[in-house]
Amino acid sequence: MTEAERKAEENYLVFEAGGFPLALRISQVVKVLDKQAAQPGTENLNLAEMLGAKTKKSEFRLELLVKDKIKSAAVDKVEPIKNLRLAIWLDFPGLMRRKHNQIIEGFFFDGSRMISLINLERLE
Amino acid sequence: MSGQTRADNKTEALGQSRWLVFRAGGKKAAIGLEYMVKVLERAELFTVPLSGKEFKGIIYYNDIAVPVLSWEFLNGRKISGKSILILEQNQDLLGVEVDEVSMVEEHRAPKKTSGAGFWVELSKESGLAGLEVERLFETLRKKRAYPEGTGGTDDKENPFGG
Repeated sequence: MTEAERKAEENYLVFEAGGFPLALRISQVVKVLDKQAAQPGTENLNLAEMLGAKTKKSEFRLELLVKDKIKSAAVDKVEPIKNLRLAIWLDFPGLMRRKHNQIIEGFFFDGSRMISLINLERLE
Repeated sequence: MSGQTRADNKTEALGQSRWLVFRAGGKKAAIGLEYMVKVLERAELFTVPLSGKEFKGIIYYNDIAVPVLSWEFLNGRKISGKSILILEQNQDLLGVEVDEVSMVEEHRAPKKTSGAGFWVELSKESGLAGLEVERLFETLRKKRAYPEGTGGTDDKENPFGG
């Protein structure tokens, strides 16, 4: 099975933060909550800032599994869980790879959007 | 852009090289034809997170995410273009936005420069400058292409400088 085929077999949460369409493997997502329903005391992960942008609406809060710890991240939009079988997997360009963008594994191109796959295991 | 002809051999023997002339930001410049893969008349540019100051975004081309160079990194000026030139060097692809592509010209192969910039003078009469593609790719492959603030703009051959 190729890397692209393996990626097509998995399920993802597609969402938006900082104006970017993003995807996370469902295994790294614990819960999707309304902004008001956020649990107090969970460590906050500023996903938009981490990606060099600002959170816009913060309509939702994701509880994410980051290296065996649960962290909470504000996001702008959340789509239903889906596989991205029909999207084309694109490896991250080698020429663009830097230490600071290791968290982005690559992209799913669905014909209209370039969805960045975030791998929280690569978070430093 | 492969396949040599007798004319190619004659050109190389005379120390000439062929350059694709383009216009970007209202100025003319050229890129060595040997690095050219494709001219895309229209391609959607996607902004992606953490692409860095060297790149403006990526385009989808032949099942590959091709990074598109930021002219601001190259010349210190924000330039956009309708077309994208796809360049290749050592199996890496790079897109460069241009307004239009004009013609192929022959010029004496310039000597490699030792300055910080990416441009070499091709013609004194017309003021045409050529992009040092190998140097550009080498720079982009480095972990950090340039220290903050320099951006490779201190180049007297830079046709876009000023």
